[in-house]
Amino acid sequence: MKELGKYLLLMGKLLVNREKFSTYARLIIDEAIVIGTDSLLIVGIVSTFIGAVTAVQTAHNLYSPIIPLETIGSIVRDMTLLELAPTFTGVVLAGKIGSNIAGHLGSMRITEQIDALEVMGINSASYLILPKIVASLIVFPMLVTLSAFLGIFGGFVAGVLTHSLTAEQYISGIRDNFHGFDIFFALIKAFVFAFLISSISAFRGYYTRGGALEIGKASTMAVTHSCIAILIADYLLAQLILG
Amino acid sequence: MIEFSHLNKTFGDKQVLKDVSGVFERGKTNLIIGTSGTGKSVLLKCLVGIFEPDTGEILYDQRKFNGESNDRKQEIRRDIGMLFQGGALFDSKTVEENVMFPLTILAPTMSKSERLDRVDYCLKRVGLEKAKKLMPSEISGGMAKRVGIARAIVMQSKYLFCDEPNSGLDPLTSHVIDELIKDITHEYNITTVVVTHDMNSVLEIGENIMYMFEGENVWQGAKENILQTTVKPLQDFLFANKLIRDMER
Ligand SMILES: Nc1ncnc2c1ncn2[C@@H]1O[C@H](COP(=O)(O)OP(=O)(O)O)[C@@H](O)[C@H]1O
Ligand SMILES: [Mg+2]
Repeated sequence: MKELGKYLLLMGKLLVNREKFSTYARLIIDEAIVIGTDSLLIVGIVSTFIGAVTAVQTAHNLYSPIIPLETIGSIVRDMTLLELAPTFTGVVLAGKIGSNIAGHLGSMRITEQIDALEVMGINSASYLILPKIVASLIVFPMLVTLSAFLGIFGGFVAGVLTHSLTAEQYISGIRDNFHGFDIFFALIKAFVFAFLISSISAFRGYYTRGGALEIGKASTMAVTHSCIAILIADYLLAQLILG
Repeated sequence: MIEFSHLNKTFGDKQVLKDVSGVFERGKTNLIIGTSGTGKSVLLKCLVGIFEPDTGEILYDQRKFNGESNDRKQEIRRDIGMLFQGGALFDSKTVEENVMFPLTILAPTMSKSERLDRVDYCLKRVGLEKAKKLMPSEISGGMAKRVGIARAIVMQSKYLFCDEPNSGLDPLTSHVIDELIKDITHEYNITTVVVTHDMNSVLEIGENIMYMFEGENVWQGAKENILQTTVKPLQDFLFANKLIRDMER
């Protein structure tokens, strides 16, 4: 509870006594590039395989003559958009970006780089954390979009290679009964997860005290807490928006 | 001149600074000495505004610092330079960018070429003009401290704070750093405050010395008078240091 208060106070501190906008613009772009290049490959691999597995498993469970094979495509699409792309990307990014943010801020804290900023009168919290959060808010939706695309593509490749259905059937499946809202929903999730991961990880890193060992602990905690927050938020969003 | 009086600072239920008062003089190297964990760094961080003291007053040449608005503080901050224990260089910036950084933040109106000139001058002053383009991970601990000094004086600071400038350095490099700090202090006639527990530094560069013990200022005076002290913890500290130095010989 005390931790939650401290977290909220830190979030408040991000918004007061900020530097000029131009200072942030540069930092945000740098952070966004780092986050993007760091996670592109892993998100790509994970998403393609998850889509493929979903397609194969759905095909395996669905051998009723009355259900058309196109349904496999629809199921992969819905699963990927609504749940797999945002949540898996979130969990992968919690591990990759979350630990990165916490480790970076933790080591800046331990080596007194944060103090060095404060001596110059810079609000270190907003200078260091705000660009990371904004960059995450920009990049995560892109990664989730990519993940959804690759997931559906992975399903296509797996479905066709295993001869579960033809390419035409799959494509007509993913076009069938498609709700544009699902994309919107995936993007909302991406935004929420982006904020949770970057802010929670920054919080853990920013308040590191001690030495190298504590930096490691802060990174681990950043990942676990971010994952828990994502899963809770995932459930709440599903209830709130779909329920 | 920096004057501070009745500073108290508590973390949780631990009182780290207990009613600390003192004066640091201009044009001199003022030393804070004492065993580890007595609150020397916390005192320094209160003085430069990283921590806000719970009570007490800090005056920089009669200008009140703590408790003032951010704009008032920023005026004084332009005059403060600080060298941190490990150098505290920004690890994503080159040596040159590190030294440049205070100028971009605190002197935004200065032209680019003026900035570059000042950075060059400061790096030359600490003997590192060749290391400009290196990253902090590529230089030694002693070099990192020298870059830290260059960054601390780039604003032509009137007040220079150094937290254990010798920690983690070999005796020779320590000596170089000590001399650099002493020379800069006299050359620019600034108020320098150095935290140390290294008795060699005390003898080499100390002019005005303050001894801290368990969060209190228990002795302050000129170096010449320190050996005549009757304060028990300071006598113990000097004795322990004498033993170590005798053994080193
Ligand atoms: N940010 C902080 N939060 C809580 N306690 C602190 C903090 N900084 C320092 N302390 C405590 O204050 C005491 C004095 O620390 P410090 O000033 O670093 O000692 P030293 O004299 O060795 O520089 C230590 O017991 C330390 O644990
Ligand atoms: Mg210390």
